[in-house]
Amino acid sequence: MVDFYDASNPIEIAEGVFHLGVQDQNNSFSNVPYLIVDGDEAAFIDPGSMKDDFFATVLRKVHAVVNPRKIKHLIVQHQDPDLCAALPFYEKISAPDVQISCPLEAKVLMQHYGTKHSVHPLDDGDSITFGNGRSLVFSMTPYCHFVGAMVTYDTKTKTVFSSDAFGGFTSSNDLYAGEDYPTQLSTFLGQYLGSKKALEYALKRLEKLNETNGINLICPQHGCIIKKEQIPMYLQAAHDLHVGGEVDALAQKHGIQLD
Amino acid sequence: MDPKLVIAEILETAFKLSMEKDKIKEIFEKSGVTISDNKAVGVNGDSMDVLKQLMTNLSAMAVIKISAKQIIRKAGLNL
Repeated sequence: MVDFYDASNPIEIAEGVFHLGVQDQNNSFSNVPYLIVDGDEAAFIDPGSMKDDFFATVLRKVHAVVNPRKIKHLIVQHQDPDLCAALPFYEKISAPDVQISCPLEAKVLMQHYGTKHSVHPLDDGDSITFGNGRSLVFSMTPYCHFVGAMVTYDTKTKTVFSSDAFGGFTSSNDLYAGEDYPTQLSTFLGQYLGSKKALEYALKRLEKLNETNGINLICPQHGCIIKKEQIPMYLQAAHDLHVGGEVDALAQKHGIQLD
Repeated sequence: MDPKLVIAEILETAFKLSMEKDKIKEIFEKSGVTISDNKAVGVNGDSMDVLKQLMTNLSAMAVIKISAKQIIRKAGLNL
């Protein structure tokens, strides 16, 4: 079993699911696109950054997994540049009829990356089905941390691609969450989420998905993968988070009463 | 909460967030924090002034500064 990733080799973390992560030792902000290959088709989730070293690493790993012309779906879980600045490049090398999909509210912003294909807006419960019957089901997680944010569930491997949810600030190349990940997760999510209500909705949505369909892996865009046996602990850690603290601090600084 | 304890927690957490341990130590020491065995064991001068200087110097490591802000908020300190 592989426990670390490097700059050269994609890692198959579940059947047909490839981790194309890029370590960022200097900034503690790794970036992890995921490629799902099933039969003669592929879907690329959050293709990532255009920053030179990030982009070069991800592209190298894509080519190591699949001919990019087999990529039929480019899926963006929200519109931040670390997730999708490279989208205009990948639409050029993907299948000619590639479909770009993202949440409705993200679509409004996505056009500014300069993609040529029209972007297909997704709603809660929408899905994509591969030729072999494998489905990717999309669940909206509004305001976590953008109104047009979502997570993606792979029905075949019971993997959740959680975007920023369950992400963490890491500088190492650990594939799976280790002893420092609770701190790394709470530092990231505690600062980048503003609404406890939005966080609780996202967590309870995932808990419901776990109860009804099962979750084997949670794969965030930053940081480390959370294994099945770790999921209850990290769900609880996320429930315990205090979010939106910047507002409290500035309100106190300026003598603004919010209650 | 004693600012010295806050500084110690910021350092301990920084080591969990970054592998750049020498850079972290350099920033803390430049800010007036004495480090021994990877722990903050003292400060040179007023501890609030050292904490303020540390926050200025941590701008070189954004993630560590984000973490420091959270720890300072949790401690109820107002810089």
